Amino acid sequence: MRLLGSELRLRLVSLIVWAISIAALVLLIVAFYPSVRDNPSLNDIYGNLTPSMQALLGGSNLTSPVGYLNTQLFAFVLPVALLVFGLGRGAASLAGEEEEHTLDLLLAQPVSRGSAYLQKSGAVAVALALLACAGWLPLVALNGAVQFDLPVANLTAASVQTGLMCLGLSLAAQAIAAWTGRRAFGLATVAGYTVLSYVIYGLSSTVDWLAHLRPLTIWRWSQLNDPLTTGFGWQELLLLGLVCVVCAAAGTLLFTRRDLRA
Amino acid sequence: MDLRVEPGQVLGLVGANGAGKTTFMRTLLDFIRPTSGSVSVFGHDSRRESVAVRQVTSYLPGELVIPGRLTGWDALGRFAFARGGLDRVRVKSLAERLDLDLSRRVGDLSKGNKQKVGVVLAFAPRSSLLVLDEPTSGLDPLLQREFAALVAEWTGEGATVLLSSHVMAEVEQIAQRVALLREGRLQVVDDIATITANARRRGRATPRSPADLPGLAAALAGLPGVSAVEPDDGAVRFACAGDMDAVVKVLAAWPLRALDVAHADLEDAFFSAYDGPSAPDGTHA
Repeated sequence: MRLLGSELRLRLVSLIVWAISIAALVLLIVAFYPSVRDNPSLNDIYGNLTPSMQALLGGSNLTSPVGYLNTQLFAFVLPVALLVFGLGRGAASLAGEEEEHTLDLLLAQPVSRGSAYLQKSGAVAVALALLACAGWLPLVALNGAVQFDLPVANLTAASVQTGLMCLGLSLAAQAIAAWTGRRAFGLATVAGYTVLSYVIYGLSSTVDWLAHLRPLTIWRWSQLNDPLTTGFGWQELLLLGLVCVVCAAAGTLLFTRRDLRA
Repeated sequence: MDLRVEPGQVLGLVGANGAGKTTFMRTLLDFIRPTSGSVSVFGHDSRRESVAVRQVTSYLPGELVIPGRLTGWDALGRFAFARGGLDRVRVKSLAERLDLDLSRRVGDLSKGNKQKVGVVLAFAPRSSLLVLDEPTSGLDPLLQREFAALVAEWTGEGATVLLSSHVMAEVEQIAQRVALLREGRLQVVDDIATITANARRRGRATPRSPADLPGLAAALAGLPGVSAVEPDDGAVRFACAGDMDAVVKVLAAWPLRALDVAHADLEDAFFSAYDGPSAPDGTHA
């Protein structure tokens, strides 16, 4: 586990800055809620949008706590923030070292490639968990103050499911990048899938033929049960967890089997 | 290729760029897998038991890159985390010998000082095998000598060193055995002493009287093992492979003003191996 520790130590400052930024972002969004809550005419703005746009933005009810948090935080802002960090870190974790010619020195130590791979995955997971926590804290702290009055379990469920989705995608980026030895390739393919998945998920509620593709989108699996209303969805957790495990396993297998570039 | 190195020995790996020196070293460490055949280090298979191999092996890459924002100490933490607790006293004494400040950021160091961090990384753990790819690139002559002394001490304690270089003089100075690589194939593996014994020595004989030049040249050209006889500004140049006795006896019959014989070096042996021992015109294609 020494590599995992070394990874986190090496990027501790950057991680702290990310955590503070995400906490500040969520704090800002939460702090705006009272003024939105008392201004029902804002719902008209969203109400006038096409249903597809509403779906893309995460709903049309801006003034209810669940509607506000879904549209303003969980449908877009939080996943994007976590993904910018996670996809970047995931793709860079091995392919980045290979491209920067530091991988030889790292792996010349008595550590197996598989273990190095998984410790790097672990470091991404710990970092993402910290960032998800940083976003969750202001929600829970101000839950009563801004009159969300949502069950803490539901806020936690939404944060965990969003974080787990981002982890799955980050581990996919790590796997593809480590397999090809190209950071940009891993980053581009997974970012492309994520955007496509987001658009399909959003439009599928109004475009009939897209509805068939819904199960292929990871957004469906993080949002399906509306965690802010219903709490943890075990089916969702299981599926997202499975995505993480499969990505990590596939990445380890592919990375341990190929020649490394000097 | 079959390569055997005895404990306590230094094997120099010599070859042109692209001959396969780095590829060979990286195969030992399981960065690259052999398409056929196998490699074993201290009885451990380089693929199946790669962790066991790296447990006893230190590696200094030819293209050493250490992230610039790390200090020397950070680099040790980053690239030796799996080596168990490094002996700080030992690290400090190594840094002192190389005149290296480990508290400075690697990005602020010169190329030579960066290389020293790599040398410390390779020597800090007590590895039984040191795999060093172009270890002295960027080091000044004084530090190259210190490096040679370090290698000698380590091998004295039983460590085995595999070292690649394109500087023949360095290999000759540090290694006891040398392997010549060409296009991924092993050309020669032998003791340096044997290779230099068979290597060509270059000589230049200057007769007192210029009138003796043609006769001297003809006498030398007739000897076995002598090649590349040519006039050179009132003297005769020649190259002699192997035993010099016959040459000395012939030269003794002529009144000479000067005789220079160059130390047979690996470079010559190297080219002999590449061109065949008796290139008649003495040029290297």
